[in-house]
Amino acid sequence: MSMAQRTTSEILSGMIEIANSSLDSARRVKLLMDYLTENWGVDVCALYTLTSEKIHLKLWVQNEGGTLDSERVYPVGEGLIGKAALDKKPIIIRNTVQADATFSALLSEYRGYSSLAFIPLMDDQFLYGILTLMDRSGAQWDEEKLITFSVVAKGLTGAVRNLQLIEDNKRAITTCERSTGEKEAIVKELSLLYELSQALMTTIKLDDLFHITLSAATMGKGLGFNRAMLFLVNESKKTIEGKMGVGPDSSEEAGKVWKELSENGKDFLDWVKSQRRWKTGKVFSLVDRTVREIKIPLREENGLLAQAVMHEKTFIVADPFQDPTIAQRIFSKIPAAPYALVPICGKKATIGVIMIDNLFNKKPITDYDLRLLTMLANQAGLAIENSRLYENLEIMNEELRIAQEKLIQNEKFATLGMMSSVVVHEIKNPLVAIGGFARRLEKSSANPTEKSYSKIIVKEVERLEKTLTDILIFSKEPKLDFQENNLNQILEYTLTLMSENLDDNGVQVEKSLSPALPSIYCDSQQIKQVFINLFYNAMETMEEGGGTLMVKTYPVWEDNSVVIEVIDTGKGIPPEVLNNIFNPFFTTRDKGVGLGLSIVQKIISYHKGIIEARNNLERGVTFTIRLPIHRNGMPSVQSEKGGRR
Amino acid sequence: MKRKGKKTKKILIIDDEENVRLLYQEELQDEGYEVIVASNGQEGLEKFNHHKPDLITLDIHMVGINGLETLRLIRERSRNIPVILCTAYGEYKQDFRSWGSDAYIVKSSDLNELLTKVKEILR
Repeated sequence: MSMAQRTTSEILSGMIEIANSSLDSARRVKLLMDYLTENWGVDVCALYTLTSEKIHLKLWVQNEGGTLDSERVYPVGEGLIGKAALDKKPIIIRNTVQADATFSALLSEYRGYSSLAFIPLMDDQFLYGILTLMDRSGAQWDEEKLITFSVVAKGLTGAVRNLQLIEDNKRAITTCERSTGEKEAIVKELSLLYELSQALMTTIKLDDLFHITLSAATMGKGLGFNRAMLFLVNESKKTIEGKMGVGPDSSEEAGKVWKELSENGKDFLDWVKSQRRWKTGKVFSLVDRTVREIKIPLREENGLLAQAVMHEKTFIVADPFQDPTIAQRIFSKIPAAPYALVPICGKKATIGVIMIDNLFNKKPITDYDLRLLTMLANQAGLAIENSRLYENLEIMNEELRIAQEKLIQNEKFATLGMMSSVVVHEIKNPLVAIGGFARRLEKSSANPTEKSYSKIIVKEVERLEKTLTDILIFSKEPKLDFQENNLNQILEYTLTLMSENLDDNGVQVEKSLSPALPSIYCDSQQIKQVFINLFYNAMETMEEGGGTLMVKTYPVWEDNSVVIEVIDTGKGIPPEVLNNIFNPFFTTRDKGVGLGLSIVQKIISYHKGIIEARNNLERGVTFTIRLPIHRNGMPSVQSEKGGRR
Repeated sequence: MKRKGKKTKKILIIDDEENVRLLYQEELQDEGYEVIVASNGQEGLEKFNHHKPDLITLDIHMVGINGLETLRLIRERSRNIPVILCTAYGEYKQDFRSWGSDAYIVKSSDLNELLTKVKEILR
């Protein structure tokens, strides 16, 4: 130490000068350490400070040439530094060789130093650090020197306290700034979640839910992915099936859609509410069509879509062609891009997968994106499950309703059947006699009054007989006798049978029967009944002033079917009841039980055919019957045991 | 409407409904046929044996020996005599051939169908 020793007051004034300089605080403390080393004639002058958790002391700064290990950390209470901190009292060792026995164990790390001082920096409340001074020279520290140590320590305390306050503030500000960012993200997530759950609550229809979910994934106000596709697990078939895809097919379209959305400036929820109907052109985009065609069995080897479901796992896939199934089933049809798969979780199991990508803006898919998407998927999962439950309920309700209706119908028919078997014999035979003799009377009588009265009896009996026949037919399941028959012949035969009746009602008959009509397999008696009922129907609708009954037949080779048209020029059917005319017991007339057309439809359906009714442009109704030419699916021909002709 | 020069065809009507029987008889006679009637199966068989008719109309639902049993007994005697089943019910018409009858007619006050069938068979 060659420098001339300065007085305490000189040292202090130098210190104050350094402390008040415009250097930053760390630099000033460093200068102070150098200054003290030099002026006190010590070898090391260092400052340990308490770490933020206040239980450790760490070297903050030491003089140039100081040899202390800057990494060494002293817990409060450990080593001489720790002891000074714990006791909040200075430890001064003027001569290490003659030191107190209590310190000897702690002195080993300070081998080579003759004098040591550890002076706590503290105010009346807190400890801020330890000023450490070490000297090798063997020069004795006098009382005055020790006093300057303690004065300097007091001065340093203030400085360190201020520095720590600044540090704490800085840290607090950074924490604060960081949490503001986090808070913003949380607010965004929460509001998205809120809007989404609100949006999902606007509907119970599955298709709408799909659309809302995918819109939320793709809209800028939502998650902002470029394309999103939704797949659902089919529990019974053990497959994952594409349900809907949303996203522009081209970047031009993408640009247009995004511009539109940003221009109308609506929130997601507002937008959902404005889209009451989802049937927009976008639903059937190429993406959508591609997705809807996908059905993949849920097996490990079928790739990521299946695995996402089976292991409830999220995937980010950078190479769109990594998974062969997805590459082949999706990216062979629409442009490829890196994608992510997120499972849609229901209450118990994974019920589907959402797939997203950023084909157009090429934005990388981040973990944050996936977190939002997972949230979306969870919400969607719940909504979809609810909707399915509701749908099942509706289906079950409908099945119940149908079963109930059937039960009622069966009951009706059973009653009818029983009644008819018993009663028919007792009613029909007398009717035959009454009607038969009335006909004879009508023919033979010369008296016009008698003739006309007889006619009335004939007509009324006919009506009764018709009703009886209808009830009988309807209440019994017929045994069908399918034979090869020519419909033209059956038509002609029926028209002959009814010719008198038709004449009496002023009905002209026009026929246009195709000679090319092929034979078909049918029960001729049943088909005859069809024609009888249709002709009666026509006759009754034209009963005021007659009309024309047109009968047409022609083959339709493309469908392998024959068509029979029965056209009248009657009153027509009110449009509001057009759907009901084939229902049993439905009638628009005050006559009849309303079984005629129902029987017709029943018989035609036994023949795997269809019948339709429509009002003609001018007047009347056209009944169109289509019957298959081939026997496919029809009961086989009954054997003709005992037939002798 | 008697057909001259031709042997008059004989028709046996078996029906337990008296008025129906009478109606059929009168209509068929008007058409020029000779008509024999029987009011039950037993009587029908006896008259069949005795008169050797050309055609039989047979009711199914009869007290005593019913129509189908009667038909079976007729077939034991003759495989060729044409039989038209006449009944109030439509439900058996699929089976009439297997029972060994030639035609099946649902009874109606309009006898056109019956007369047409009879004419067709006896032609």
